[in-house]
Amino acid sequence: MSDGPRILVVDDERPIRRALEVTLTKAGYRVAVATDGAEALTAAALTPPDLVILDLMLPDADGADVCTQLRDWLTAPILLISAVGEERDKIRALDAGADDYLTKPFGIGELLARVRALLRRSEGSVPADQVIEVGPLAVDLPHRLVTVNGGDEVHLTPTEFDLLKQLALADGRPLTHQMLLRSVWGPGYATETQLLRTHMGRLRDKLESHGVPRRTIETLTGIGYRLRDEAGGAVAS
Amino acid sequence: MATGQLDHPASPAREWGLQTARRLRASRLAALGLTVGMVAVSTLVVNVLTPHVPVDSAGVFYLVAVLAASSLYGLWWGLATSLLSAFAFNFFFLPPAHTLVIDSSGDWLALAAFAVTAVVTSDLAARERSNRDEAAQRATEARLGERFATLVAEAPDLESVLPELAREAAQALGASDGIITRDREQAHPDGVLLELSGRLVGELRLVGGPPDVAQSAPAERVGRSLASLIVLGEERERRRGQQVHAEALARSNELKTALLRAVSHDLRSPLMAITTAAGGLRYADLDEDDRELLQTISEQSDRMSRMIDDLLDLSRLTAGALEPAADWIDPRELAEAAIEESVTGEEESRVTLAVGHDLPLVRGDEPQLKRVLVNLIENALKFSPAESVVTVSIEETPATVDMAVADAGCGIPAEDLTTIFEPFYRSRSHAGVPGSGLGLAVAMGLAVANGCTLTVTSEPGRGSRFVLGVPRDPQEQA
Repeated sequence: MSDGPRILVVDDERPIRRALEVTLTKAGYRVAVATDGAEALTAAALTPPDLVILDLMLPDADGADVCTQLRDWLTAPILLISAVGEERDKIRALDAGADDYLTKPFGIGELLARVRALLRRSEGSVPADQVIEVGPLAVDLPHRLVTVNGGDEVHLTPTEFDLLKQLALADGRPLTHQMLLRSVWGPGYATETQLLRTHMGRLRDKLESHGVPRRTIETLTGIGYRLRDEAGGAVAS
Repeated sequence: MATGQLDHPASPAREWGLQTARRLRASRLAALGLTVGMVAVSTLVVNVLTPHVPVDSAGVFYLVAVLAASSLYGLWWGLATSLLSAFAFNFFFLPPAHTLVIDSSGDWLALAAFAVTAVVTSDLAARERSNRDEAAQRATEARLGERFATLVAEAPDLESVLPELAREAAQALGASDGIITRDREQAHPDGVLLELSGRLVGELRLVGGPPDVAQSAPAERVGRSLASLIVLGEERERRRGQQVHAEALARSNELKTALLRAVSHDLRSPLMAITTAAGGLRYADLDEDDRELLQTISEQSDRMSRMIDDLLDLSRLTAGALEPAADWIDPRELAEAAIEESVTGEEESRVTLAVGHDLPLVRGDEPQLKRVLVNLIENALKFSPAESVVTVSIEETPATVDMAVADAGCGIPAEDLTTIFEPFYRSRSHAGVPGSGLGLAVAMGLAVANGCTLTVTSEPGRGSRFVLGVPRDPQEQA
């Protein structure tokens, strides 16, 4: 238990901090705590954690700013904890390098699942020259092919393929509308949400016609999308 | 008047008042004395001159008296002087002397020419004097208007400056004091109407003024000037009032937003701690009863959390602190996300989505509109039999994209259809169903804030259908 992954919990509310500390410790993680942004940066610098759980609303700093500062030198995944209605703050933090978020109140089961997924992914990023499998879906990056259940090919337009590719490369991490628009269409298209909505709808239609549930691409309302594998995360083959 | 004059030696109002008073109160006795005196002096001069010049030419000196009287006292005094001069000239100098008889026709002609000259001269002099007086009066009135404007502009409010305006205006018209009364229906006989473009804004009552001054032309002009300044002052006060109101409103909205943010954080944090702490007990060695208790803690915390969200949203809507951030939305994606959030495990098969392809995109705040649909779907699931189906459908109309949630529940009585969107409304027939009674109120508030409509039709015993009408964008994209 004492040599499990190291998690830094940053939250200004003592009861929440303590509950997370106890629960994560019992789940086999080594836990360090910090009460604000400054303390979090110091703690992370002294003993670099394998994962950071960061409350978006801290008394001394904006969560997104803390993300930016941590990302300067820390590669460990950052999991945000936020409240309902903080979409804009979440988007800023995700753009600043946070990897995922949970909306309060969340179940401990959900938290532990996210922590496991983030730690597993951080062990090695998905190489860009491989076939990425998500549930029944296989995205062949070098050949720009998408197949379902090992053979049934889904014919996608270049834009639709690029969208799916970005989601697959993100390996279950949420991608904001702006991130997708910038990477698929280009930096000048960051606000052209209607392009994204239209192509995402067609991509889902095509996948659905091959038996892939529409919700395989999860809608993160007001934020963006992520690829969801019901069986528990994307797997690189 | 004289004592008052010492109080404000530099005041233009007082100066103008002095002139008016001098004109109005000029002694007729003094005029008579001066006229007779000047005719007498002219007689003496002519008398001195007659041994040396012809008597007809010397008579011209009487014109000096006529001119002086016309200049000082106007046409009528000038005419009287010319008549008196004619008599004196005839009596003392025209033969036969010391009678009013004229025996030479040449003398008659001289006297007639003399009289005509006197009349014309006195008329010209009187006109000149009148023009000069008029100009002087206008100038002082202009200065008075300027003074009024300064008083009104510098005063903190209109009401406080009225007494001073009244006093200055009254003194300018020769009265000792005045009172301005606003919002008068009818003016007093001694009052000067303060009227602007037919609107009576008040009256100026004069105290101790000359008779009939209230009806004089200067009084009318002063009244107009006062009236326009009062209207100006009223307008300024109204604008200032509006500005103060707007500033107060903005401050109060900022305060409400900040307060709601703080309250929402303070209410949610303990719940978050309860949920997390209860979750932490999942590794504890608990028997079945204890696990059930733990389950209750988790479930009820979640329920309370939803109620707090509803209450906070409703407060934000009421406070106008929930500003929609409009962006492009795919109606189908929105409906799918709403269904996914509303249903849990066993309820999943109860909700179906009926939707066509190639629906137009719409504009709105995605999280807010999703919340509307989630509330409608949860409401439908809650108030219809456990085995019945809830149908979510999307249809295009020329002006809107309608997102409908229909259930096969017991329906809503016709008399309740208007009240179900009110906060804390609970139907009498569903007293046992848990809920805050806020879901539909929040849905309505969010729909309206996003420029959408939310309507309901219901058939008792058959079910209800709620429709969210999202306006289509005039320049919608494919």
